Amino acid sequence: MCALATPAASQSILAASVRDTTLQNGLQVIVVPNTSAPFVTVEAVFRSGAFVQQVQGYEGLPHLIEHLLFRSDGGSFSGDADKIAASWNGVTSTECVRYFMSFPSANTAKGIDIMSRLVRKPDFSKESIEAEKKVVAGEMQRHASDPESLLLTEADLLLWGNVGLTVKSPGGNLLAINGATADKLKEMYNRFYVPNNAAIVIAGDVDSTVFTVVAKAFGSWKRGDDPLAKLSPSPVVPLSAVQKKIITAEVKDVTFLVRWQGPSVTKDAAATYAADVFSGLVNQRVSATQKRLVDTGILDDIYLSYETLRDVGPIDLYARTSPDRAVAAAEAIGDELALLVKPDYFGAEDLTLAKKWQEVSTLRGNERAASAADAIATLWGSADLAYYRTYDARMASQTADDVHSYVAKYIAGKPLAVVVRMPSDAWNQFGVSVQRALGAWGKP
Amino acid sequence: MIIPVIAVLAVLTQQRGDSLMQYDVGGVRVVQQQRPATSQMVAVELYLLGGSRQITADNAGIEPMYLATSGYGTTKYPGELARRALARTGGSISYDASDDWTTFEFHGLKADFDSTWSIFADRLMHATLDSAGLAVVRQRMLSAVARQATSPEALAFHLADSATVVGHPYANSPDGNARSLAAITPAQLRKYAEEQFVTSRMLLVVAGDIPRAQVEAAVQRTLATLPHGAYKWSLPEPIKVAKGGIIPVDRDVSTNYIVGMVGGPSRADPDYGAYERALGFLGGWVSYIVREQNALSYAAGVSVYERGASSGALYMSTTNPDSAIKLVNMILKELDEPDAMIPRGTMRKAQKSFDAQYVAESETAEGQATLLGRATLYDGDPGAAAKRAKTMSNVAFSDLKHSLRVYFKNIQYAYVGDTTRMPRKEMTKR
Repeated sequence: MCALATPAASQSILAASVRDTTLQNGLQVIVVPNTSAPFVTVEAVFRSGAFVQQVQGYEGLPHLIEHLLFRSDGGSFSGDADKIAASWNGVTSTECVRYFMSFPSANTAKGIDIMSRLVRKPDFSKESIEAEKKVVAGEMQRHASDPESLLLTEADLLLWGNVGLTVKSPGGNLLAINGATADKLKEMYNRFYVPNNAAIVIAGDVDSTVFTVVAKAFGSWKRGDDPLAKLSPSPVVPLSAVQKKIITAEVKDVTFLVRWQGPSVTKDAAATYAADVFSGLVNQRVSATQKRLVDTGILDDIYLSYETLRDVGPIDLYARTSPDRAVAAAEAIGDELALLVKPDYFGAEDLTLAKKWQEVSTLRGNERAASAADAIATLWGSADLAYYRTYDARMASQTADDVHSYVAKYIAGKPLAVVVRMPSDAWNQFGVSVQRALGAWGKP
Repeated sequence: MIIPVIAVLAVLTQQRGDSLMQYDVGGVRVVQQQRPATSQMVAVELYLLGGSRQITADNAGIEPMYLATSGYGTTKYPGELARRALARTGGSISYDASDDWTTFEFHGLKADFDSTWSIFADRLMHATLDSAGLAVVRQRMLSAVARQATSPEALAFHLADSATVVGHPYANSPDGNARSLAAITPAQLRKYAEEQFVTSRMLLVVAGDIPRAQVEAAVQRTLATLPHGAYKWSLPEPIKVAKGGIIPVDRDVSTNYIVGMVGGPSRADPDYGAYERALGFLGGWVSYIVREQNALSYAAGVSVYERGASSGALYMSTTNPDSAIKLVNMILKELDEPDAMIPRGTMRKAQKSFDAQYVAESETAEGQATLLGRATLYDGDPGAAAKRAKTMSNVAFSDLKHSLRVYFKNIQYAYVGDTTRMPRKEMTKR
């Protein structure tokens, strides 16, 4: 592996911090030693997120399985986790599902064993399924009650369309959750929860002997067929036209969410680094965007982000203001979209500052073992370990041309989706004017 | 007996050469944790003490307003230079106004300590309070106040907490209110800084691989030149809820949010350890019975508001509020019984969780600085967190039950959702 390392990769702090091996059954084991506290985080990650809902009958299953696994091994998980003073949780996202536990490092072997039983000994009894359906329904009802979730759901619908929404929305829907059967859950579990579709990430106060512990706990797990082989690599339909929508909710402010379909790691990994640099350029407090829109008092804040995904990561521009400034904000954001894509949007010093901020943020995030584990597991789920290993070096090597290429390919002149959320009374007062301002937005 | 995981941390930090120091530089109290060879990051937290007790309803929000406006220029770094100089370090300067104090802090690379400190100190001591910057900050703070009740859950917490602190200094939100934020003038900001930014009101906490001499020199040439003043830190009076009640808010949402607040002892009270343990224990039971056993809620539990004057909150979201609250009342009734039994190992489990949380927070410079600051101010000793773990381990089940009997009553509820389904009778039982 060292012989293949690029010069950039050899300078990576992240690369130097990670050790890994792959067991015979295909399970990748990734270890990040961090001795700052006698504490350890163990994560199991599977490439089984929302995107598997492209399979007929699988809608809602990734999320429900995540909940059900915490009832694994005869319901012993919670008690066993308590015994080793572990905090734990699970997250279903667009491309992966993660299970994680943090506990004192003296309990590392026990914790790894508990994790092994969690992901390998599921309970798909009728009683467990019905109980977790209710809990998942409770979670979805909370989402449905939250104006922030409402905004995101509407924006997802515009950006991905009905078909795309299924493979991008991890929660599923109530109808699908209620209709889930034990047979379908078992089928999906057996297909996707195989060691060759998983990684174990261990970060914290451990040494190389932990590889042996993981091999003992997970080595007997049988390899399965490649679950991704028969899936469509990209079920997302490209956005063909500008989509705009104004919604009302019980809120006090006005929020704009502008979105584009961004790069895929599998097709254009280089652009994903440039995407992160460009977000840093827009977000830094001295950027032209912040000066024009925030420092003039038009917006309270504006923030650009890109989510690194194997298949079409979203680029989001999120901005907030008060109802009385909504019309001016809609006009100003429209103008800003044209300025963002100009070659002179940023200079050499801006680029240096954005990269410096990124470097310090990465170091700060890596200070906490649990954050490092989260970052590795998430990037493994959508890319691979090599992506994480070289991330900081690749970020440091980004040039202005790289960033301009990314902007030209994914933002300039590209269709976008925008949702504006405002209070009902503000809609009555300013809605038509905001609508008119949005109508004047051209493709940037 | 020191709990093993904390003992392990103690050995580890000793091996690494960590050292905890307390010293005074020109009237500024400094607590410093040196953390050699852990990471390149350094965390600096300046505690401006008093929080809600320093303000009135008329000038609430004045301290964060000053600190935010200072980002728009200082004498040494006029206009945009303050932000550009900070951007060159890759670090961040932020503030957080809370009921007991405001923290003004920075996080950055140890190699940039001196340059970041220079901006940090100048922002506190020599802000130009540029009028355009002030206008932007004012608008942002007004928006933040308006936004605080956007999510129904946040609204429930806000309403219940506000009702329990009526008549208490915490009633004045340090983030301000719509009236105060609109009225604060530049002259008031300047006067406030002159009167309130005194060294007796400050505690500086530094965590990271920085030599003491470097910290001392930085403080000596900046903060130590401020007047000493006559501020004396103390804990606020405890929050006492004389009578429970319900604040119903009818909202068209898919579930119902219930928050029930109770008062608590002062952090200095010998009962505080039992109180914190009792609420943690109760939260575990509520989650187990309401969520795991009966699937009535995705999120149900009890949290402690860790403040000088503590309080606690029962919370849940549920489409079946009557059954969920009935279960909570059953749990409380059961714990009231003189012969109530505790499941084996439960107390030990709660202790382990507390220790684990403490150790996890020690992992980063930022977490360490916060732990030290809170221990110094709440417990009177930066090394108190480990000692507190020892005290906590001595809490018996009888202490815990006593604490629930004394404090988990007169519950002030807020209910956001379908009020026709609100179980008023069950909610007023305790």
